Amino acid sequence: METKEVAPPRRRTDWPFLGIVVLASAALAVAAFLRWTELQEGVDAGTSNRVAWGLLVVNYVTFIGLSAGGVIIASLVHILNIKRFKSIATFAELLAVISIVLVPVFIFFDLGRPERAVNLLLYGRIESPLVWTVIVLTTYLAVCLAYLYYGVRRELVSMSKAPGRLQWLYRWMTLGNQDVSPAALARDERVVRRISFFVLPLAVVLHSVTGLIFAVVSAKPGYNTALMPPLFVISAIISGIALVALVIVVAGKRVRLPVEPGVVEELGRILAMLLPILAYLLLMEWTVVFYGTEPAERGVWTFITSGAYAPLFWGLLLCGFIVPLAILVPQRTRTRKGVGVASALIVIGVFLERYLIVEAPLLFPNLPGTVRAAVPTVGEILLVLGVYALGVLLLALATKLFPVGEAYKRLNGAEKPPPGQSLPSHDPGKSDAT
Amino acid sequence: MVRWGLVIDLDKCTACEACVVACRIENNVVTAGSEERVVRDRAIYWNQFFSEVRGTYPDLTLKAFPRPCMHCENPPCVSVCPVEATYKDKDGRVLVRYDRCIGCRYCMVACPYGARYFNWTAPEPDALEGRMNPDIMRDSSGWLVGPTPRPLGVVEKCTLCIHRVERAKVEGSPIGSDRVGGTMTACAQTCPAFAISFGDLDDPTSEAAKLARDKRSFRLLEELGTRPQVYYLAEG
Repeated sequence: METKEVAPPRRRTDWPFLGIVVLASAALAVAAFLRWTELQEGVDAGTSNRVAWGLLVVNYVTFIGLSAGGVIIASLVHILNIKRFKSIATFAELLAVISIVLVPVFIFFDLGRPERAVNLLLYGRIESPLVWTVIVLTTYLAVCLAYLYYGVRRELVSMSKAPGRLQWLYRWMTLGNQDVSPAALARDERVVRRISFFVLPLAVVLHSVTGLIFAVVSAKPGYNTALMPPLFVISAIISGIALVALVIVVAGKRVRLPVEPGVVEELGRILAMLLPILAYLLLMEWTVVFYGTEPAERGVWTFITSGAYAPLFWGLLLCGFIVPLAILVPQRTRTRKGVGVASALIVIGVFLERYLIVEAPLLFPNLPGTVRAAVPTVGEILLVLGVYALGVLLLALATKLFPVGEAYKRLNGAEKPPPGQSLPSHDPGKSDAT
Repeated sequence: MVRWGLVIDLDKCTACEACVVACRIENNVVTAGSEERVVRDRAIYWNQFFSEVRGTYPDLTLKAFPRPCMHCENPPCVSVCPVEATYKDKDGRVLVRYDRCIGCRYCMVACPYGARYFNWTAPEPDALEGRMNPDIMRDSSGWLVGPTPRPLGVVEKCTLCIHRVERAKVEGSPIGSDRVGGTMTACAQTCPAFAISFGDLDDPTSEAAKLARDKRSFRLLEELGTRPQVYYLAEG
């Protein structure tokens, strides 16, 4: 049967693609150069002895969160059995993997002695939430890669058999498993389903542990709340789904993703249902803080709502909640474009939330001292942009080398003659029309 | 068991900050450094002086105290360190292994006393020229914990002058500020008002242990449960 497998065509190398690759590589090179200088001369960032964590740690937390999208989509498909989302499941998982791959990059850009990171393995101290994160994140990455592998194995095999210069790469990536008999494919399907059951609780653990990094610091008002882990879980889910929706709207057509009609709108509806939960958690936190008289807790939140960070806070309310809800709740505005805009705002809003959660409590000393807001430096921002660029680069290359939606198209098209031909409803040109 | 600690009598303290200077010179803590470092709150003080004016004129009180590392019995910095670079040694000191630290700065976030400092910029060797303390201190497994200039990108802090104490142990000379010729920390030795006592808190006969039991004695942020080994005697 294998000889009949038709390799899906790769995207052509066009100017927009080259432009993105060149721009992203340049940004990455700038960041790498800056980092190299930092390792010789010292850190140029808004961080200080009191505000020891800056923009890079905020991004580290944010990107762990963004990886939740792939897991949620996989759960929708396999646990809630919503078949329509299968069309974007592999792509969402790809976004999750890229988000996770960026996390260690943020850490390497932030550590004082990145070359000693191996100490985490040699001397890891199990009491430290950072070690919990390392363990869970590694497991999570492995599971996500396995999900991705079994999702695209059939494509890899057919591509490794088609003539082309990159055959060796695809053959190498099949990890030696070239079996595409119906039984093997059914087994792949089964593995993917089992993984998606396993990965959901794992994601909850991952985001809880990320929240615990902050929650266990008992001396820091603003960090030390049991609400932190659930807040991180729900923020992660929301930002993850928003990222998937955003990337599909922006780049789905370019990467020829076979998005089923209504999928993006459905993602918007899910976001509209989840946003109030996030708002609810924050509201409960504020009620307890402002009802109480604990001066330190109040100090942090008063500073956030009316101090130097007030623009960020009100920006978060507007960007993260009010405008997205106004777009996503009425069915009239919950269009593909509307969901795209709302998702972009939500990603920004969740980033602001992370920024406030990580940075504001650090400004407040336990011993006497004045509170001064830390401002990120240009160097710090360039480092962060460099890592974003790496993400864009990975996405561009991955979608160029591996036609992301082909597996789905072929699976559905296979039942109807002629095989390999996509159904009209799966034609990206039509379903993606806005 | 030995449990080194300090007792600082705020009634005797004149807020001269000689302890801060002595600590810098003893432990090769480079001078506050360029103005930029100070402005950006990146200067390193193993022993930092805090002062706070309370009330409104003319009803004013000045609260002033030096703050070395508290060497907590229940140190929040130690449990969060992902690589066990910071640890509680058998003599009750909280130490940093400078050649193991990965520079994640979690301990700085966890420490409520702000006693931990990061080497944000490369050390300036010129600043130490001619007055460098050559002592190098390694712990029993060979990790660097003593006052040698710390490399860029690691966290550092007060060691209760471990190099002095360990040398005295080797020489068999007395240790503690109440003993004749006793070895003590640089801050205790230099204090012109004899406000700082250094000694073994587990030895009930030591001056430090006696003062720690004084009814004026208190510890900073005691409500956090960190149980510092640095005591203060309140102004009476």
